[in-house]
Order: sequence, then C-alpha cells, then structure tokens
Amino acid sequence: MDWTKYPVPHPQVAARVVDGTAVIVLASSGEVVMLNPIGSRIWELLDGARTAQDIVHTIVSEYDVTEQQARQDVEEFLQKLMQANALVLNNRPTLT
Amino acid sequence: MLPNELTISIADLPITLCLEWLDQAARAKIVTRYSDFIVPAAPAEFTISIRVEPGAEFIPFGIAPSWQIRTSRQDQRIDFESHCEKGWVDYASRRGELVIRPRGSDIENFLRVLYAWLCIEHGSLLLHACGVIRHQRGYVFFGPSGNGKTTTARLSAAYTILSDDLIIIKKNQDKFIVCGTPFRGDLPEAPRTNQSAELVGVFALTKDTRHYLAPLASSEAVARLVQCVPFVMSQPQNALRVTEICIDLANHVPVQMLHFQRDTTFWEIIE
Repeated sequence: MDWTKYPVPHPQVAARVVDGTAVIVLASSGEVVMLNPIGSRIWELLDGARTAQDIVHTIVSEYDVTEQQARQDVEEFLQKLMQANALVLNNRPTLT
Repeated sequence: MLPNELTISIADLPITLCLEWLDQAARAKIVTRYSDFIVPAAPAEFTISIRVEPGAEFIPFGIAPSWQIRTSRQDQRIDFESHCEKGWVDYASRRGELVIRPRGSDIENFLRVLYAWLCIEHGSLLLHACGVIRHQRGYVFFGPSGNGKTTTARLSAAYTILSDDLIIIKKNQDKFIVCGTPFRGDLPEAPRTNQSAELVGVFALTKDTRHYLAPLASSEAVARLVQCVPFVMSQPQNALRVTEICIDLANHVPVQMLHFQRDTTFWEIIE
C-alpha cells in the first residue's frame, strides 16, 4: 500500500451517504454495496484531497483505535474497494 | 386500414411510433397490445420509425439462461439490441429507429428500455415491481425475479393491477404517483392498466410462512430499490440520478419489508 497516494471513487461508481450509511452502486456490474459506519466514514474521506495516510490519521482522531490498527483496517478496506473497481489511487490531489 | 402512426403515452410520456413499414397484421398486434395507452396524435418525447429488415443480425439465441438486452449510450445516442430487434434513439433530434425481424411485431423490449431512459430524464423511475391500486391508493411491491411480484399481483386480483412486472413512479409536486404500464411479467392474465394513484406504500417482497412487516433503514430501502431499476444503471450518471430519486422516494413514502405467504390476507397488515 502506497500511503502517499490519493484514493478516490472510481469514475464508474455512483454513491450517496444515506443516514450515515454509504450506498455504492457499481455501474459496471450493477452491484449495490452498503458500507458499515466506519466504512461509510472512510468513503466520505475519499475526496481526492487526502492521502491514504491522511485518512488513517483522521480515523485515529475520530475513533478509539491505535494507528497500527487503523492503518491495517484502512488498507484492507481500500484494497477491497479497489478489487471491486470502486476505488482508484491517484498520484496527485484532485483540485476542487 | 390501420394507421401509419400511433402515439402511445405511458405515465404521461408520449412516444409516436411510425408503422408504415409494417404489414397490417403487425400493426394490428401493436394496436391491440397497447390499446389502453394509445392517445391522440400529440407532440411526443420521441418519434420512432419501426422498420422490417430481412437478414438483419441480432444477438444470437445462445445458452444464456436469460433474455439478453444490451444498451449503450454514446453522446446523444442510445443504442439497443436484443434477440429479435435492435434500434437507437437520438436525444438531439428526438427521433429513433427500431429494426425488427420480418413478420415480427414485438417492440416491447425496446419500449421498456426507452421508457427506462425517459423516466430518468424526467426524474421518474421505471421499477421492477408489482403495482396495485386499492381504494384509490397506490401500492408498490418490488423485488428481483422470484421474490413474489407476480404472486402479489395474482393475490390482488380483486383490485386494480397496474402491472406484475414494471411500473413507473413519478413525482408530482411533493407527492409520488405510481403509474401503470403495458409491460407484463409472468402473469398472462395481468391487465395492461393505464391508471395511476398516489403512492402510499412501498414494500420489498420476501416470501415467508407468515405475514408481517419489518422496517427498513433508509439506506437499505434505497439500496434495494436501486437494484430493481433495470436497463439504465450501467451509466454512472444514471446510477447517481436513480440513487437520488430513490432517496427522495424513501424520504416521502414508507418503504418496508413485507414478509408474506401465498394468501390474500397480507392486505390486512398493510392497511
């Protein structure tokens, strides 16, 4: 995992957070995925302005979790999203 | 003599069909099938020329278990292809064409796809669902194939069935309306009902051994609804639009899980 990269939703993904739960539609497959609360929070942080490392720091600051545990959980989560073609890693921040 | 042009209107979205290339028998089948939805000639959302093309190639029938329908969008144009027909519509000119086999008259798959796209354009939804009007109130029972849409329609024969397979939900000011379509599922005796009613309940269907209602969190309601919107979801912008419409729907109309068994008494727990 390259923690300096900027994770963003894949262009083929449509998503909305509904009452704190991210509902993600994978347009390429038609699959719909609902994320758990912490997954939904990480999804909200995929704004293209934060590196993966920034996301780990935010999770550590918001939840009762060690950096090591947060890093492990975020990596596993991002890998799963990438395998589902729901996420890409950019080399540079996205200008908003 | 049957007309060269026919305008049908589903959920107040008119489409004009140019039938001049079809023989009288094919025209008659189309007129009969969509009779409840035929309206006087009027400005239409799209004008579709239906053409017979001997030797035209379509998606071959293969070993795939389901009927294949392919759609794609490139700029202003949507292309459509299935086993017996293929066509396109152009958003710029608001015209389109459907090519069918000689002696064919089946235009329904094309219409289903076209209306799915039209609904998105108008902030409405074509939804895989059974629609019923009972006491002037509209109910929608949705779910994937096998979850009980046709069963629900069969068990609701005492009321007005809008469709056992595909209905349209549209928003009128702050109310949601369920509209009938001519699109049937597995219930051969299902009517093609051109009626509509204010939507008062939306139910995700689950077959069970007893009737009961279970609440659905908004997110789960949205996720389940989105999965029952056909034909348009391969385009991310459509998927996003559909998701937003479903969120709006779930915020205005109760969406619950209906566990039901095969008898008509499930209506007692709904009202």
